[in-house]
Amino acid sequence: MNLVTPSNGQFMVAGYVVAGIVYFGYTVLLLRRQRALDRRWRALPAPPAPPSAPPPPAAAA
Amino acid sequence: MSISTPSARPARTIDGLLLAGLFAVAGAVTRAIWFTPVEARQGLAQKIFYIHVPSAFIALYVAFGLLAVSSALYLWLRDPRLDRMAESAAEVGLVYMSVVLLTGPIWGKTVWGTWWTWDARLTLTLFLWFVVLGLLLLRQSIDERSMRARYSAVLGLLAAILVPFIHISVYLFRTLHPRPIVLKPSAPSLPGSMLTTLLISIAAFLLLFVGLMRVRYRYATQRDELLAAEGTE
Repeated sequence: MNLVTPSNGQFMVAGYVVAGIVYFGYTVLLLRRQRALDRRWRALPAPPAPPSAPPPPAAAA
Repeated sequence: MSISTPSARPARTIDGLLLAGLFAVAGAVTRAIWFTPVEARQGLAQKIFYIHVPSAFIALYVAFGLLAVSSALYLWLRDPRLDRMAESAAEVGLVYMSVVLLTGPIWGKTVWGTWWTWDARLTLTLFLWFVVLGLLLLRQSIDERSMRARYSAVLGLLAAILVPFIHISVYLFRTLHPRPIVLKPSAPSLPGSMLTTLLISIAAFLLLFVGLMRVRYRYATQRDELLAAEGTE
């Protein structure tokens, strides 16, 4: 039986391009969301500094 | 829950596992396109199989399986980490499911002559996609954390119940969608080289899933810590 393989490479390309856009797009979106979260963290006021330690005793003369 | 201060947070770097997943998928795609034989009857379009099937496998059995387990465990243990796990699995699973629903019609057009048909397998899959999308939208609309977690856990369990029906729908109903050729009681009906490429693709997309899950789960954890630190939750 002679079998003629259809030439439908454009559908293969379309499928891979669409999948690439979705996966890569989501990865970029995730990283951008993470970066926006980092910016919000940095905008938080810094916690109060711990009380400073007493100065070391002067060395005995 | 421990609250990190801004200064206590680790410095942000690109997740190594996510990067490895992206490279693995690129390698699997290269093998599928250039180093796997063309199917004689379907032509090059059949190569969509190597992204469509792994995406479906991971979305249905891994992502939504994880969604079901973490949702059920949340309802039992009320641990916020399980809620974050369910949230992450739902979102990443929805991305994989979107690829299934977009690549399927492109492949179907060449093989069936139509982009879409309202048969049991396709309709149930689309329905599941909407349920998981609804779950994520529901989470956005509830401010109270425990109520949000409880409601989405119930919806997550209901969504996962659809998965076995989707799997057996091709046996129960007359449908254009083919029956499983790998996940079936008898031996896989694929030539060796195609089966190898399929298994490599599944492994690569699984690695990408783990990388995406890690990043998404860490994002959810840090977001909750930030909300606690800001005093908004």
